[in-house]
Amino acid sequence: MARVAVIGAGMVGTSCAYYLARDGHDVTVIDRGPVAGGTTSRGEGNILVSDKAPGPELDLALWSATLWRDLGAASGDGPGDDALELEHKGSLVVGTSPEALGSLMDFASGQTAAGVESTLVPARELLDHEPNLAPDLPGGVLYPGDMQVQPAKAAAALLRAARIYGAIVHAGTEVIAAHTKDGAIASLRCRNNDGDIDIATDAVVNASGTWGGEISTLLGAPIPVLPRRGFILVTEPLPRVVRHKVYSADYVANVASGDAGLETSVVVEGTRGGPVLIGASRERVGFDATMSYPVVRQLAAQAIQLFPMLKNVSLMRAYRGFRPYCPDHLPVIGPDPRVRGVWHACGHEGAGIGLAPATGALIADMLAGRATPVDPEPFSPTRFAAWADGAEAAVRDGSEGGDAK
Amino acid sequence: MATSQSESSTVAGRVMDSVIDIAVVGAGPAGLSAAVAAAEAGAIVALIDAEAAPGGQFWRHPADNPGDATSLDNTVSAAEVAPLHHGLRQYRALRRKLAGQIAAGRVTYFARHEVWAVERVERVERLETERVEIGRINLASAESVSSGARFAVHAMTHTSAAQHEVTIRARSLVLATGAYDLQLPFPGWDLPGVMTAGGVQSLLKGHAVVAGRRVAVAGTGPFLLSVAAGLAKSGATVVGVFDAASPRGWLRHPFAMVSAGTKLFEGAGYAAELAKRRIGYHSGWTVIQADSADGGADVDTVTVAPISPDGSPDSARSRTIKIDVLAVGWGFVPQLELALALGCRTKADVSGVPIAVVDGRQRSSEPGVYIAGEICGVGGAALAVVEGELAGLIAAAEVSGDRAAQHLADHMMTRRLVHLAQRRTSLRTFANAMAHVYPVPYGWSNRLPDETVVCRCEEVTAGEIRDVVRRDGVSDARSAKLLARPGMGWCQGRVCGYATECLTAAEAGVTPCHRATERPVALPIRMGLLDRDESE
Amino acid sequence: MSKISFDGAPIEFRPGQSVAAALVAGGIRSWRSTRIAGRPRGIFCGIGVCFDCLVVIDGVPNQRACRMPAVDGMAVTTQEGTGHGDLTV
Repeated sequence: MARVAVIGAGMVGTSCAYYLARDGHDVTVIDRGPVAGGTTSRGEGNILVSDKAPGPELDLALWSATLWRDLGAASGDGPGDDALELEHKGSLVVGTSPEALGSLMDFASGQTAAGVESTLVPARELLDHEPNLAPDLPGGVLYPGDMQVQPAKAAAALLRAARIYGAIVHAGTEVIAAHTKDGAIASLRCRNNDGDIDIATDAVVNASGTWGGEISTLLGAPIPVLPRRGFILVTEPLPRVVRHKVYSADYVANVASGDAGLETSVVVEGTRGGPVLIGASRERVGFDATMSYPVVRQLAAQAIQLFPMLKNVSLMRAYRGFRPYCPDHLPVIGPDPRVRGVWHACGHEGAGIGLAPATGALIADMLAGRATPVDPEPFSPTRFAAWADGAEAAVRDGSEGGDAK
Repeated sequence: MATSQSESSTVAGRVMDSVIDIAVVGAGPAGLSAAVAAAEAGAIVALIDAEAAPGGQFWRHPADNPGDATSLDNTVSAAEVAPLHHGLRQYRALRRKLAGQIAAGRVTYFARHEVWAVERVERVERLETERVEIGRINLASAESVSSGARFAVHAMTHTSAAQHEVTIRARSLVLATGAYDLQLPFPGWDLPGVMTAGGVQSLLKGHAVVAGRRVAVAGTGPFLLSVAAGLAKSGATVVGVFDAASPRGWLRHPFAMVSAGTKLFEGAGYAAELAKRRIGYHSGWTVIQADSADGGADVDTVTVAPISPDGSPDSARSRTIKIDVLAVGWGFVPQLELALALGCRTKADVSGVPIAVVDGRQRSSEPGVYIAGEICGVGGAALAVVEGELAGLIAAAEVSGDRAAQHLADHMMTRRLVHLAQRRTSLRTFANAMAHVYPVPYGWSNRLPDETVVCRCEEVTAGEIRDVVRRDGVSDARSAKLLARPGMGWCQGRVCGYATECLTAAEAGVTPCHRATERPVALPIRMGLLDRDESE
Repeated sequence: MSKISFDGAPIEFRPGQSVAAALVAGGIRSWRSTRIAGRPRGIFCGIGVCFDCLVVIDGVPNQRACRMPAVDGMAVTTQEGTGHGDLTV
């Protein structure tokens, strides 16, 4: 069994740690902050198949959804639904115009062929599924396979499970240098409050999310991971007035969009804790952390269009996070040919929570030389071979370098 | 045109037509002083305040003219709360000046307007290079700075039926948002009848209401004396003041004691008041728990005990006292939301609580943002007035061009600035010493029982917080919040944030690090109010 | 004399007082029950920070009693839990 260092204790890193430790590897998880302190703690916890067109990402998402169900199952050895705060709630995607509904139905039938379960909900039945929905919407599509977790709890739960299999965790510890020997990774120099430590390792998994670009450069195997800012609004605690994830069909177009600038289309959902979450704005503005109040207003307005009762509900909090994305909107998962022992598991954009278990399992399968349930090739870091030279500086300053647009 | 605004005269979603020079947020001692100083220097000012009348917490006053007084004779008046106040001469002078500036059209006063968001609306990198200096003001750059709005201040006011929003666009900001009582949880602290010391004081000064008939006052700091004296004057029976700190601590700070005589004098006045009324002042005593009698919902007793040399309460010598109200406060927490939303740098004050960083002229790390009063270090009203005046004068000089520049270049004004700077230094020395003399009791969080509610909003107990520390190895309040929900509710951790950090760090065996919590939504606001086109 | 009502009973107040001040002066100590354990709550911080004093005023829930000026004829009622029990779930 190998010594594997996982950089990043977010949802993806803890998933990698879980599946690798379960395989018997000696896993060390390193994060410069606390567990789930980065992007993982700044998202809604989406586990979606509904928003993905047929293709490699949907294949990965479908497998990942299965793995999430396994992790949540009371009978399995995973943490269970309660520890993950996993809700099998499904999504209701609504068309806000007859045209949008038409495109949505086309989209859904394409997904059916790829194995996504969905049901058409005609206008007259929308309120049976979501009683507080605006009454005049033309219809929607119900995706029972979509789920939600509380991402920080889920990451903490998977890390606990990994520790049971022997994983070691260094929180508050930053990787400052990587050392190679004969073209292969040999050790990581890490720094924390107690000083510097060297962690000898056979493999490193770069699961550092939005900072994946920086870490990849530090590892000598740079990949283009760029930040995309997103905001989420949190309302006052409410009874369960929103049952599913509810979003408008234009969201689908936005996820696939490569345009810079603001794109908002709202995703509304209830939580076990009480507040309703309103999310899904995306902007490419580098690491500008300031709150954009026009975005807050736009999200609020769109949420009210779907659920008019939210007009009289208070916005309690707004937070922003940086979604890590790659120019082709696919995550980077797999071994990097440039430095032996370096593996990437980042660039999941807004889908990191949903795709995390499949990412971890894919890495574990590949490391063990097992056959993989989905083809890993589309996610391979090799696709950036032509990109690598000269783009590192662009990644470092968070600009649009390497973007395909 | 500048006018005085009352709550009834605003419409939903209004954006002020004209860009004003300086928006002052908060009309406590610092903000009031800043608004007056800036207007006197020639700036056009908006003074935005959550309360019904200027004064903040220290000089809290009832509204001058409550909207719907059906019987005016019965209206709560400033005159009747006057005996509860200190430094009223200064307050009245500032109010007179404010009234003059309002009448002259230089100040627009927004009472009962709470700011829920501030934002920078113009990129101002050029300001860094064109920043003007007092004493040798470059008028050309001052001109270029003053064109256009750099900030939008979004304020909310409400009636029972509706909230309304007003957006004020300004070239500069003075943030004087003040502080609220620091709270430490103890068993029974969420029973009705247990209140913050500041809350008890606000009922007295703002509403002429005595919170209870038999009141115990506990916590730490000289503020407790002022609350106890006010209660006693207003007819309550104060069963005792229990201050966890020992006044002997002052002996270690002799310099601070002489350097800011008035504040001590004020404290001595309260002490004399208590002695006259035979109210026991128990230094070195702390509150252990509050209880309700069998079947009751409200607080009925408080149990207090002297603190042993090792820092823990000596429960063998505890006393249980019948009360109907317990007023508690352990110092103050600066309200940093707006400063943080603008990216202003913060640092830890002597007691570890985050405060805004300002330079010698009350300038924050962010161009165009000035900060005065408790949010750049809790120091009391006298210091806040000085800082406010400085902030107002400097902000006016930096945005208003020649007029303010001439005003400041005036010989008398130069002497004024020097005087203010000196006075601030001595008051700050005193304030820092106070924080050393009145610390929160050592090791308090280790003694907190597992079943005590820490987060009042989400009803998270100390045990649940300790559990996530033990289970997931986290050691900071934010992680505890993500995993166990303390601080996720209506108040967004304003009340329990300090305690959660202490508790989490203690359980993890690390030193607490009180990070400034960002709250870009500084106040819950109805979604319907956000659903508007700002260009209207 | 100006009056508000609390759960139907008249409470006198003096113009200038907040709803919380009027209730406290009228001997009312709690006017909300929490959504998880049903704990009673009334005024705590008194200055708009803690949101413990939330109450239903003129049919609108989650209003801070300490921040709302009492107005003659105002109907104040105890708030249960989220205050949104009327919403369809």
